[in-house]
Amino acid sequence: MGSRIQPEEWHALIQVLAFLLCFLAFLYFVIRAVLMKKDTAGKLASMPLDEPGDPDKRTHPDKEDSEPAPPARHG
Amino acid sequence: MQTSPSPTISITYNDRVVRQFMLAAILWGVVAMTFGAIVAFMLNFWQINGGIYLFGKQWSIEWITFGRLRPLHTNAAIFAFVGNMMFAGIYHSTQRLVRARLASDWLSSIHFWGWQAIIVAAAITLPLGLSRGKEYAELIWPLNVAVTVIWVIFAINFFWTLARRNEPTLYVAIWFYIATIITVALLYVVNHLSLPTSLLHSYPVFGGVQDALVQWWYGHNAVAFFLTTPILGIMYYYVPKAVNRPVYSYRLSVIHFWSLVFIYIWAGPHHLLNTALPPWLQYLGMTFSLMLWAPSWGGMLNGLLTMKGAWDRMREDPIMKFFAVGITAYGMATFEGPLLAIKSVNALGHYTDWIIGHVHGGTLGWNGFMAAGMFYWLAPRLWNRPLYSRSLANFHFWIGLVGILLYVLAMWVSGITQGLMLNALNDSGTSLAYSNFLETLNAIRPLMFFRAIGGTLYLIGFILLAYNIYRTVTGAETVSTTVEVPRRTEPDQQGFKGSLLNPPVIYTSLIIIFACMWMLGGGFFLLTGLFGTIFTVLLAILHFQAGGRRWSQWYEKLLANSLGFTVLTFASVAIGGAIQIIPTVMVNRAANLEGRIQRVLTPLELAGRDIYIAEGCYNCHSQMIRMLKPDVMRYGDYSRLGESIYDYPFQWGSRRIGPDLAREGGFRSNDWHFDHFMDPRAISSAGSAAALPWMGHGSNMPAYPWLARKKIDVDALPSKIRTLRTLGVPFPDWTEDEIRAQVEAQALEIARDLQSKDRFLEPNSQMTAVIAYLQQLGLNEEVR
Ligand code: HEC
Repeated sequence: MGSRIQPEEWHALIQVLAFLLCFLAFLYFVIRAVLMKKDTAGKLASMPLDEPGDPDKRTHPDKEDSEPAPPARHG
Repeated sequence: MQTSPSPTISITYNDRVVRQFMLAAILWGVVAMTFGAIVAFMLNFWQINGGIYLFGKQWSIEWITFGRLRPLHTNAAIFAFVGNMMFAGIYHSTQRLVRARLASDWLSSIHFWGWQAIIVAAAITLPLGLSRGKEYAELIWPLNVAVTVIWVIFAINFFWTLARRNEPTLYVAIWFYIATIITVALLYVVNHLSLPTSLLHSYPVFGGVQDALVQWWYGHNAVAFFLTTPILGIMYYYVPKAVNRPVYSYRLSVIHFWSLVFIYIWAGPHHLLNTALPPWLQYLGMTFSLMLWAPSWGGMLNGLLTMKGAWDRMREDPIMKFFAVGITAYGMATFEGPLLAIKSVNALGHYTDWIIGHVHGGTLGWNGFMAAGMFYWLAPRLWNRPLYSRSLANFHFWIGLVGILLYVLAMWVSGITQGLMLNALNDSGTSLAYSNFLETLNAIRPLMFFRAIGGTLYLIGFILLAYNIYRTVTGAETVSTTVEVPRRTEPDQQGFKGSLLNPPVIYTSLIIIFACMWMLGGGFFLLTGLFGTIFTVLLAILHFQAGGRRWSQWYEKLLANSLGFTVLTFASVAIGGAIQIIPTVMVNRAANLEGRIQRVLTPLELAGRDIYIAEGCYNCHSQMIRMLKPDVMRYGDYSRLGESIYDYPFQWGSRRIGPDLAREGGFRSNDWHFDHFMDPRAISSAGSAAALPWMGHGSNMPAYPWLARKKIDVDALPSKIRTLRTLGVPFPDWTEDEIRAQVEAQALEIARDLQSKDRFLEPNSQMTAVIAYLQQLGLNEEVR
């Protein structure tokens, strides 16, 4: 049933091109993410915790398995 | 990013609107789930389907049939419950992540009240039978316009807030929110394009196979971008908050995001496995669905591992439990989805309860539990008071979990049982093992019953949440957090203009425009598009080389620049969507009729079709016979694409609670239909006795006595026919009088036929129209 619709030929070409474009962009972004600097990643990872005036804020438990928590941004 | 002693400013967050959205989400959550439980029980007990059975008599009430209330349940669950919950989470977390108050209190208020007004309007119009007839897109066109306006207001409020932020970096949760806003807008608008015929009625601009493709492109991605991405953003904010630990791996969260944005949209074709997409795209869809296992599970593990080290709190803390199970449910649903995307599995599971189970694993487990975790976490903070009862919340968790398990397991067994029974052949392989459809329905009645019980348990849990939150917040003073934050001194990258007019954005936009010209245009446009695309790509490369700039700088800039980032996300999603939609809209029609073309309806039949849609018959009946042997043996020759070409909207359906109707025309007599509508149980053979007959037995189709009472809206027909002609359906150019005369003649014929069998029906009653419609289903002309 898959081939029941018959697209005109150019459709296939566009689709392949567009797909390749998206996929390459995706690969690029993934590589960038993988190569992200460790301290940047660490900083970003604790953004939700790093809030001024946060009543929940306690000293951050040390983790052995992931990026170190960043220094507090603000007094 | 250590701040030098820069001037600080004091910000008071707008937590009022967060509170409003949260309370609304809880209220609508109770409503949505209550209707879910009601429609579930309806499938077991016809006595409450389309009326109430009291004192030995069925008191029919047209507003409460399964066909009308099921859309109310789905729309309420998706847009009212998850919608409000998402707005609460997005507004609360965004203000804190970007260190800025929501841009406009006024827009926030319009957003809130506008959304509630839409929900109320939906809750009134859907039971009245005012429906576009497309799943999760049933609301009538004036409400579609309202939804779009409110969504745009939400977008303006959100992006304006980003523009005023005091924190330059955009945390990954914000990325997920941006993708949600952009993609939902795109999906919603395309799938709701319609031509109105009156203030309350419209026809979608797509018909037949095209409408099917647009609808399921929307349906699939609505799950991805309404029920998944915003909740992932919420997960990446609230889980670290709740356990007070940073996200396990930020890199993984970024990869998770890009795979959803770049790949999810390509996996959509798995909903159309046995339909119309070109095969390579189908296989791509299948492959990418399988590939999505990796990032989805990456996301799940990322969430769960963030909680690692806080497991010891799990026993006490209900919030942790809700999050842990919610995230696990996300993993399970994203495991099951690709499984169902495999063709052979799909042949069994499609049209059965398995799909319903799959959806509820996601909605009850992922959406519902993440929502509960978030509400329990937020309430004490927004009202400055400890939660009323932690043990009640724990009880909610356990009863909810049992509810989910019961629901999902029952639906698995039910779906597989009915799928196997419907497909079963006798030993010789020449006849169906269960030729009476009702035998397969009777077999799953107990399972449907357990499902309804599971759903009710879940509902009870949620009502406990409502009570718990109610006790927490009544009398409490509301707090709006005020914080001192360093004022952001550097301007937002290049400001508004600079963000739009920077080279990457310009190049990307040009490439999209040229590519569209190339794809859509002929002659001059095609050539301009083709060369324009190539030229722009080359120019972009040269530009960046000449400037000695590197792509990585572009990337960094892009991520810190909300507008550029938004454009990029939009481009990726739009390309993925356009590639699936445009070819099918442009597709060579004649080549895709498969030798048959649907016969154009008569005015009376058209009136009947609109009643069929208004009554929501498509919630129980499909009109699509698949190219599978058991389907063909049961319902007749497989459906050709040309046979639904004039169906605006398409009626292929997604669930067969009753039999397929694609070739119903001529299969029964008019008086059979009459009797069946008046009382389905009086005429349809009940099939073999069910194991537990008190759980429901025989047909669960509601009786439709009001169809005999209510009159056809003949006055509306000319405008409807005119609109369909505009859309390309070859109706003759009838005058209003001709239309009226045709309606009368055909209706009279049916009424006379019934009279000869001792049944009395007013010719101008809606039932004549529906019978006329049913009697032509499957009529077609051969074309060469
Ligand atoms: C709650 C689900 C449900 C809804 C809603 C529903 N049906 Fe049915 N329908 C069934 C079931 C189950 C059967 C099979 C048992 C029977 O014949 O009643 C059925 C059977 C039928 C049949 C007989 C098919 C055959 O030839 O055996 C017709 C025709 C039909 N439905 C039309 C409609 C129309 C028209 C509507 C809307 C006005 C509708 N149904 C709404 C569940 C439903």
